[in-house]
Amino acid sequence: MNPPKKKVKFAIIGSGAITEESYLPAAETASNVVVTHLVDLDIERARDVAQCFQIPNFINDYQEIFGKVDAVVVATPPNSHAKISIDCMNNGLHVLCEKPLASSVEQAKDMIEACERTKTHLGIGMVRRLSWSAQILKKLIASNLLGNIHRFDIEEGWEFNWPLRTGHLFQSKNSRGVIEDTGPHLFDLLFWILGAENAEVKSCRDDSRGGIEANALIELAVESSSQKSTGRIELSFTRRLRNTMKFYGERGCLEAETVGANEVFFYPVGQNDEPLTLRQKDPMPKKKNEDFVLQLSNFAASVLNGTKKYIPADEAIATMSLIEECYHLRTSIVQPWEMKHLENFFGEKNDE
Amino acid sequence: MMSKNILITGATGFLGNRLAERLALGTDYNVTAMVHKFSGPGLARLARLPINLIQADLLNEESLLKAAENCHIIVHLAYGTAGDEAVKREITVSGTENILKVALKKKVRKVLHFSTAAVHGLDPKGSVIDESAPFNPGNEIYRFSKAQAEKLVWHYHKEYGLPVVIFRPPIIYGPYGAYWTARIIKEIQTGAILVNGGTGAANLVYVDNLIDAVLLAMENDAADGEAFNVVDDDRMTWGQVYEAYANMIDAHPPLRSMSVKEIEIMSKGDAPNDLGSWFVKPLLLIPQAIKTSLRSPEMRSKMMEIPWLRFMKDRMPRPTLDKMKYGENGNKTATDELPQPVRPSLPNNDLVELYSAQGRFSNNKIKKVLGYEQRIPFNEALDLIRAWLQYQRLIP
Repeated sequence: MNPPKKKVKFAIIGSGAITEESYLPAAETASNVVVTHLVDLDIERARDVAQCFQIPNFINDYQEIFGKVDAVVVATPPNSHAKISIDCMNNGLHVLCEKPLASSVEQAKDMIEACERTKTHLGIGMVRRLSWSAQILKKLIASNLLGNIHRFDIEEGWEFNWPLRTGHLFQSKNSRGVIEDTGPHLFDLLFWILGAENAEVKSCRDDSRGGIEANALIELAVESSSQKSTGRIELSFTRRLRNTMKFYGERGCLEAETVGANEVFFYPVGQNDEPLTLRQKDPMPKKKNEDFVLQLSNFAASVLNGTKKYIPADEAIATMSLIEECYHLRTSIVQPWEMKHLENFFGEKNDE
Repeated sequence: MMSKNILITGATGFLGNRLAERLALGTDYNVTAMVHKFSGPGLARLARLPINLIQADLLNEESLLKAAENCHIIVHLAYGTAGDEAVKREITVSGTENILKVALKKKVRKVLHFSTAAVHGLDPKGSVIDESAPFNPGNEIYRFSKAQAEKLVWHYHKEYGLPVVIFRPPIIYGPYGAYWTARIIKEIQTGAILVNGGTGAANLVYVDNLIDAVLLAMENDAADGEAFNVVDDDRMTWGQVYEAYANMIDAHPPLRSMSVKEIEIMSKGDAPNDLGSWFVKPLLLIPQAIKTSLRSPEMRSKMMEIPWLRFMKDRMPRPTLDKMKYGENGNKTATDELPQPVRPSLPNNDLVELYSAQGRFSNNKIKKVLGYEQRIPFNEALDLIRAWLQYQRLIP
């Protein structure tokens, strides 16, 4: 008889949509994970979700978990990530933090300093890297299939339907919109796939009118050791966009869905209408949250074995810097139908 | 002048969103937008604005009292859109009564209530319909509930002296209009049918024109205790409206006229007519044609010379296109993954009645009482709509 597999005891802090929809279902499947505590300021919510997933303990103060678990998933609103994560690391807990890592680069650096000082693991939930298509894109680009890559074009937009439990994303004075929400995934994929070392935001236009932006168009340049390329990232909470990333090189274009898929398309130069399709061999039907299962399992394995099978927090610094740059440089997208009768507010300008 | 606080219910909707935008960016009003839940693209659009968002439930008076704290004006747009008919009615009727109660308790200066021109029925009699036309909502839940809600508003005005203004807009159209803008475009893209050749009267109001009227009524006491139709001066027919929308799209199936009688027969699905031979039959043949020819690159290329097929193809996700061409795992045929064939859908009974109605609503009263003037004519509205449709990627 095999000895029982060792499991890492987790607390999940924050019981909002991402916890209920992804982390808790994933934890039920990950064989080396057991969630023993669910934490939420709203204790009734914590109780309801804990009961649903048969989590034995629900509490409203995360400090009560110190000494009782090995690791935490921090899935609270972004502006609380740094404080909670640092507190947890200071008490010896390993932290898998939902994206974005923090609300500022400065906070993120404090988190990384705490991680190094306490010799704990600090991972960032960049689950998109785990998809088959993202992995293949990276390999194909590294293989120089496209030759020199000169341009990229990334779009992700849906009509926002995430079942938010609270209005923190839309109500908090500290909240930001689609750039901070979707941007981390796409900036991270761009950096990681291209093996980029530096990036510069050339322009960022969004549609915030004093609240949080629902649409943004970012132009940027990225640089790796071997090449420089420029491109655009378009994001939306209100429109269904193409939802793919395209990389253009000397020998053609590679395209894959931003959320991950079992297909990657290659458009050889001069044959843009008829791509070659690379398809995952005998793909199993994709299970809901399977990337979250892998992410949690890998993190738990790292805690057990002292390896680093997760995306370390320091890799988020580059994307966080870009997001800060976006907000720093932002100008307004002004639409004609919106400006009508509001010319005084928009100052007679129209960027479109 | 001290700025005033305004509460908008139904603020995530088409009209509420634009009203919040116009108020927040173009006036001194402090806007509180009441939302039922924290989700949906309407909320994302609303949250761009410098306003307060507050979660409340029309059926929970306590939550409404909090939402209406320090409020001077309430614009009540929300009505029941989800759930079964009883729930919708409850939200529209009891929800309105709760708003009226809260307005009294909070001594709100004025409630602007949104009723609908449809309280007069979809085909009100008379060539010109003014605000004194009789109610004839029938049993349809939206019209019936709106009529009930409006009666409550009058009751609170007459019995308790609550200052109210009632708007009865007809067809509201414009950017972000799902039903009377985006739906019509989608219909045209897949084959629209004009009832009676499109000769019915289109009683339209462009969203910004309606908001102009709301802003006037907010500021002018002469509006209190009155109901207003707000309709554009353009006297369009539905045929003209559909033609104008169709002209925005490079390629689409031709608009097709059918009489009310033909639609009735077709709806029963038991009689031959040329809709079948003109549209349905050839369109149903398309999957079969594709089945035998799509895997040939030459044929694919030829098919892409047909503009509307090219248009449809450009909008299909790449994986779907690929499955059409290559099948999936070798087990399925190319047609298994095809989207539904393009085919015109028959308008339902309500739409047939509305599209064939000849009555024109009058906007004389609001012009006379409030000095209202339409600022955006149909042609200018179309330019704005075209820009929005392109931005929204609903047209190329």
